Amino acid sequence: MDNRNDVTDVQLTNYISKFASVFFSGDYIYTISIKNARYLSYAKEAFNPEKMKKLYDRHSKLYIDEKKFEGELTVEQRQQAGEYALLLLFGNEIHLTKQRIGGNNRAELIKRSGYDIQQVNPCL
Amino acid sequence: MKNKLFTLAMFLLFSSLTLKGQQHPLSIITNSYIKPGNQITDVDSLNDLRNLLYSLQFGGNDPLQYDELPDFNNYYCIFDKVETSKKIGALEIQCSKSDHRNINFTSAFDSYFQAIKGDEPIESYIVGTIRNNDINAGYFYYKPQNSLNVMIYGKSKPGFVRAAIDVFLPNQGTAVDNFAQDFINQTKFK
Repeated sequence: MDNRNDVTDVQLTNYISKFASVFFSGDYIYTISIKNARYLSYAKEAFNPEKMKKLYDRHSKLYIDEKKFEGELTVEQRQQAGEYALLLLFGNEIHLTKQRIGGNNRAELIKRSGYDIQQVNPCL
Repeated sequence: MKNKLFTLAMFLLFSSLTLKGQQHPLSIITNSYIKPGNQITDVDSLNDLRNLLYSLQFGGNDPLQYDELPDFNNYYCIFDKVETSKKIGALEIQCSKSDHRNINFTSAFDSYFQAIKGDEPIESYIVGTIRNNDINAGYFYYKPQNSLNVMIYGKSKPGFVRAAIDVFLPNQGTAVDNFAQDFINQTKFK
C-alpha cells in the first residue's frame, strides 16, 4: 500500500494508525498495534531485517543474562525475552498486548521498565 | 554515629566487591582466549572493537551500539592465535559456579536457542554441540550476521558459561565450527 502513488499521505497515515498484526505464541495471542505512525515510518526507512534480527537476538540474550536464567527456559521466560527485545526496539512505535487463549477475554498491555516486563490492564 | 555510618558504608562497599568478584569469569574458568589484560571495561572501547570487526566482514558499523556496559556480563577482546596482534572477536560472557549436572543440557540449550532464534529458519544458523567428560556445550551462529552464541555446563566440575562472540570469520562454515569448538574445548572449569 505504501508503494501506491494514488494513496494520499492522509490515507496512508490513517491506514497505518489502524493497522494491527496478530500472532500466536504458546497459549497466547499477541496483538501489535501502531502507537505512532510517524515514528514507524521513520523506523521503516532504516529497516534492515538481518541487522534488526541481530539487535533482537542480542537484546533477548541480554534479558536472559540480566535475569541469570541458566536452566531450561520456560515458555513464559522465552516470551518475556522476546517482549523485552521488541519493546526496547519499537516501544515508541507500537503497542503490544497479550491474551491467554480461552482466558478471561481480556487482553493485557505489555510494558517494559528497564529489564522488567509487566502485564497491565489497558483500561486502567 | 559517624563511625557506625563509616563502618556500614565500608561493609556495603566490600560486600558488593566480593559479590562482583565471585562472578568474574577467570575466577571460575580458564580459557586461553580470555586474558585479564584484554578485558574491556569501557563502553567506547567495546563499541570501537565491535565496529571494527563488523566493518571487516560487512562494512559499516555494527547495528548494536551499547550505551553502557551491563554489570551482569564481562567483556574481552579476543586475539587470533596465530597472528597474535590481530583482533578477531568481542566476547560477552557470563559465568557461575552453579551446579547443573542434574539438568538435561539438551533441553536447556534447545530452549535457549529457541528463545534467540524465534521463527527464523534453522537454515540461517550453524549449530553444533560438544560433549566430553568435562563439559556439555552447544553453539549457534546466525549466518547473515557475525554473532556466535555459546552455552556450557560443567560435567566433571560444576559451572555455567553463556557467551556471545561477535567474531570476524570471513570464511563461514568450517571456520565457524573450528573457532566455536576450539573456544569451547579451551574452557576448563576450576
